Amino acid sequence: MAATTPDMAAPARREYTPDLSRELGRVAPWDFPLLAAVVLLMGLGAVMVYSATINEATQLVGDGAAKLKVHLMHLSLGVGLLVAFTFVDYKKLRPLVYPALLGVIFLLVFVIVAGVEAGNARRWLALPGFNVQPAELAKLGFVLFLAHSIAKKGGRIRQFTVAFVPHFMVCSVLILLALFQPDFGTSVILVVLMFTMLFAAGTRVSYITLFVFVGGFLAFQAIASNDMRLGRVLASIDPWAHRDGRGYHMVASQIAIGSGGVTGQGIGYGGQTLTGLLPEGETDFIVGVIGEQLGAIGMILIGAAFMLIVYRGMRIAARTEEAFGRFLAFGITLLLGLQAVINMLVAVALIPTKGLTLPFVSYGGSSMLVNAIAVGILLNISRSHGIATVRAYAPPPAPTAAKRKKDAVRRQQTAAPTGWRALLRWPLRKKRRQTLEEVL
Amino acid sequence: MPETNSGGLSRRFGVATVLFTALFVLLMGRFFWLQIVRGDEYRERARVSFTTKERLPARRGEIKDRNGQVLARNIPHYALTILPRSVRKPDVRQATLDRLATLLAMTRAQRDELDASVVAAIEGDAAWQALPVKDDLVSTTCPYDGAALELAQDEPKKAPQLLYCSECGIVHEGLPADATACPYDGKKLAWGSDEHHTATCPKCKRSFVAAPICPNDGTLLTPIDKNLRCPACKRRFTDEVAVITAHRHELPGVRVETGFHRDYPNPFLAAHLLGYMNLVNEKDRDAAPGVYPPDARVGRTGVERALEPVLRGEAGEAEYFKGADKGVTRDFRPAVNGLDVWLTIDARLQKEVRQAMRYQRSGAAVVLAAQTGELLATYSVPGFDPNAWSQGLSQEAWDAIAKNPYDPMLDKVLTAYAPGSVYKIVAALATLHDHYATPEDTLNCPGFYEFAGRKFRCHYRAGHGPVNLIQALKYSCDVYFYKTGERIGMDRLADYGHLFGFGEHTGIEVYERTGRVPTKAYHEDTPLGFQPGFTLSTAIGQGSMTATPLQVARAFATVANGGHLMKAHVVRQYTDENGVVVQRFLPVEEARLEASPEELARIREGLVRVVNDPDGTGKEARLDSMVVAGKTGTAEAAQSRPGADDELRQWLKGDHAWFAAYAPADDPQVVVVVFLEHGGGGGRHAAPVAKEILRAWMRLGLYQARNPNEPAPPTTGER
Ligand SMILES: [Zn+2]
Ligand SMILES: [Zn+2]
Ligand SMILES: [Zn+2]
Ligand SMILES: [Zn+2]
Repeated sequence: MAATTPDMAAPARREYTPDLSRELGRVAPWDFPLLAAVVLLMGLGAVMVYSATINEATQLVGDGAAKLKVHLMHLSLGVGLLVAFTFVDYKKLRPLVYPALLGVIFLLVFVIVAGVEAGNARRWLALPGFNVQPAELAKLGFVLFLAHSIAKKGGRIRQFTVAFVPHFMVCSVLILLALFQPDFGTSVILVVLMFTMLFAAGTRVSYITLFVFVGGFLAFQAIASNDMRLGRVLASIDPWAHRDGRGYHMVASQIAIGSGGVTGQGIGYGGQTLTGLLPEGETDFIVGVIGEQLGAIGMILIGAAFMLIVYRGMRIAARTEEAFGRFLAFGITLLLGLQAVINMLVAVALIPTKGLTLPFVSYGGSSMLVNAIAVGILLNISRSHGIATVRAYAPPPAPTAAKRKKDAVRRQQTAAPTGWRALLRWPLRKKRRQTLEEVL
Repeated sequence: MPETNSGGLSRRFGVATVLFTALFVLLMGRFFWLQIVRGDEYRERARVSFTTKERLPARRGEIKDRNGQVLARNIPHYALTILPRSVRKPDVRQATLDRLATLLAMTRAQRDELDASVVAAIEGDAAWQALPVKDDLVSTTCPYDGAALELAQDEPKKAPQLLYCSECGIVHEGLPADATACPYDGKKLAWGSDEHHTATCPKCKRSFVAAPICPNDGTLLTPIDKNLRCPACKRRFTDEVAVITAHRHELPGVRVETGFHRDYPNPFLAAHLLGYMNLVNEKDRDAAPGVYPPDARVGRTGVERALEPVLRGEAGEAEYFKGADKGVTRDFRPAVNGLDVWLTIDARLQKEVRQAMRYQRSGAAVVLAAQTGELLATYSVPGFDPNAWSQGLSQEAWDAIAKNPYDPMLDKVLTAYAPGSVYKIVAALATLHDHYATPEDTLNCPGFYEFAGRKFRCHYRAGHGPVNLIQALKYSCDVYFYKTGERIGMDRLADYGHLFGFGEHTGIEVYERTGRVPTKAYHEDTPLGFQPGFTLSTAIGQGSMTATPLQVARAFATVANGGHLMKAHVVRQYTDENGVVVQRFLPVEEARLEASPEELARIREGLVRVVNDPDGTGKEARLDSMVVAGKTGTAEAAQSRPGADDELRQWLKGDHAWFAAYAPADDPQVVVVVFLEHGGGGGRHAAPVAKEILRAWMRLGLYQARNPNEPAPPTTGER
């Protein structure tokens, strides 16, 4: 009859021979929303660091921008590393996991022996021109190790011994070394990272629950055994009663944030932060500075930025089929999100002070560089997953009838999630066009 | 299908995402709560909670003499504190304390002690509470003698170099090894041959080092600059406040707090009049709620106490951000400074009075302006050191004062004693005014007067023979006054006593005793009851009659100035700190003596003769340069005191010696009363002292001949 239109002439699915070269050549785009959120936070951070340090720096060294300059140096170094790691195929990091882990352990030991003392703790290694905080490196090192290990074990991760023994051992070593400094905040992050990643990897919830109880008991012991930590916890319960001592930070930060109101007092105008009433305003308590100077608008801005980072990170993890990349993306997202959330919970006086920085925003070289590298890796994973899908997976076995039915149900849910599932699925939903499976 | 592999896991990713979302929602809720729901409250808290209200102490007014010479002043006092929080980083703390130790020449032990307390505060719950470092920084005054420090201008070669040992904290003096003479007194130095090569001056006992090495512990010494010198004791000092201020960038959290001490530059000059200050007590705080902080000092005696509300001013208040070193003021109510109090005292005369009283064990001298009732000088022996009292007395000093039998803390000018014969002017006026005798009438004195079965003796046992009023005053004949006193009667005599201001407040601003003018009613209340003989004793100022030296002075001023009973006063004016007069106090006439000028003239004649007749009892007070009028008094006052040693018992047996004088007799301007407790005869012992005071008064040029055209001095005024 009439000449068949290309549409109508579409061959049967089975007979189609895909031109994989087109797909292979197509690299997924940068995850721009993630990058935008990080850039926004970095920019905001620079402004707020300047605002928080201008008075002190003017007074101490006569140059209000002194700390800003150092921060900008860290920042540009961080951006360089971020870009660099974007171009390094994350899979090439895999052979480096164990050397990195050993290196981190070495540094943690070294800092105990030769670290710089600061506020009753040794957290810094003085390198010429730069202070390194090995605990920051340890977090990323541990994420790399967990991702590698989980990917290596595959389905066996569901077994108790496989899931816990090696990870728990590495985690314990790192935590012990961190507590030696002492750095309680890092220990908490490491534990939460491990359990959450094992949970995501499919370990039975009951094992995790068991360990959470045991871990909780140990944490309680750790807190109760140390006067300073106990004092901090007690102070966090009623910071106003400890305003001249350990509760000072929490009260100061709470007041700084609260006094910001809706629109804040304006950048460069903040009674609490400019007069040095809010200590560590450029590092651990930068949220207080933002809260006071930018108000609720500023808080929504950072909250949204970190939420976006978590969603995009989760999305990258969910869309990455290759196991190492998948768990690495998940772990990095978790690392960034956890630090942000804990830092902000401390700033609003909901949990005791931890000494954690706000990623990308706070002053502090080690944290900035490590988080920048982490985002670089995450972006690289996001760019890679299109190819990874093709390379990493053999064609699936023919599904059984039951399985097919189950898949159909799931696909329907994926296509049109409703109810609370919608909330659950929304950040992870895939655009169908991009699924290779569809093309095939 | 990859979904098959990872589908279940994706859901777990989802769970993690939801948990994160929940945390973010929690955070946003908290932000909403803090910033929007309770934003206003937190804004208020930001204002209130993180500010400290600081009392801005008012400057206490100075006390000056009538010419502006400072008698009580405030010496700035600098205390150093450190905020532990600012030095929480160990390296910062070490650096700060090291710097501080060098700047303040602390010993290693002191430095380590401070370090320990800072660490304790940081680790405890008190990092935000300022810790005291040093109480008294040297800056403007010598810590040893309170003299104002001056810049040392040393002869560059001779001056020893000051070398500070950080280990033992001693400042050594370095000299070149070839120096041969002590730079302080030029005595020859012998350099020892010990390993540290030191030399000791044989005269001033200072030791010098030749090399910058501590002879005690071998530490390398640091040269320091001591650029202040005390003109009094010649010690050299570092201006610690200036040094700390200059290095404040290296001293985070270190702050100099300024306060004031009360200081009496010439402490023994008028200690009783000025009084002293000490720590506020519950009673003071209850009496003036909210005025005194717990560590305040209040005037305890004398002018300091009487004029406390004027002197203290009103403290202000400043609201600071708590950020210690970065303190920005939020709210500010300035202190209202206390007013300077100018006394009527003339410090030069006061000094002379003190000089005149120098050999007396116990007594008082008061100089009153005859026309106005102003106190020109007032002095009580023994004295005390108000500086020691104001700074807190040591136990030894306290014991010494408590054991002193002459009661150094008592202001004897304002304490009542038996006045003896100086009181006879009262009976004299009563005699004349009530016409019991004319000035010419004579009464015989056989040496005693027998009355109511008892012999009342005249002090001159042989008897004065017939004496008239003027002679009775001149010889101080007791019998004459026994006889007139008997006629006048107890109560009428008391009335005249009150007319002269006896038994009444003199009007002086400080606390005083009123003494006692006995009446029949008074005696009837005593166990002994009234006996007629008491009238006779009272007429000669004995018995139950007591009067303060100031009351005596005021009574004599009344006689001298023609019957104006002036209010005694010691406060001339209040000025603010710029010297602007805020309030001025004019003389006030309290009463007019009911006496005719003639009557007073006769009494004055008698008083002139007391001093100027060769046989007058007060001839010891005669001056060539000026006619002095006066009256002696020798009051029997033998006492016993348990536990008294021989010397004290002997002293207690003695009579009270009085001498009251005014001068010049024809133009009375000044009244001098000298009272010597158990001092013996008034003519012999008290009169020479009064003479010395009067002579000093002349010498100082305080006598100004009255201009006949000038209207009489104001006798009334508003207070
Ligand atoms: Zn020494
Ligand atoms: Zn000498
Ligand atoms: Zn001196
Ligand atoms: Zn006689």
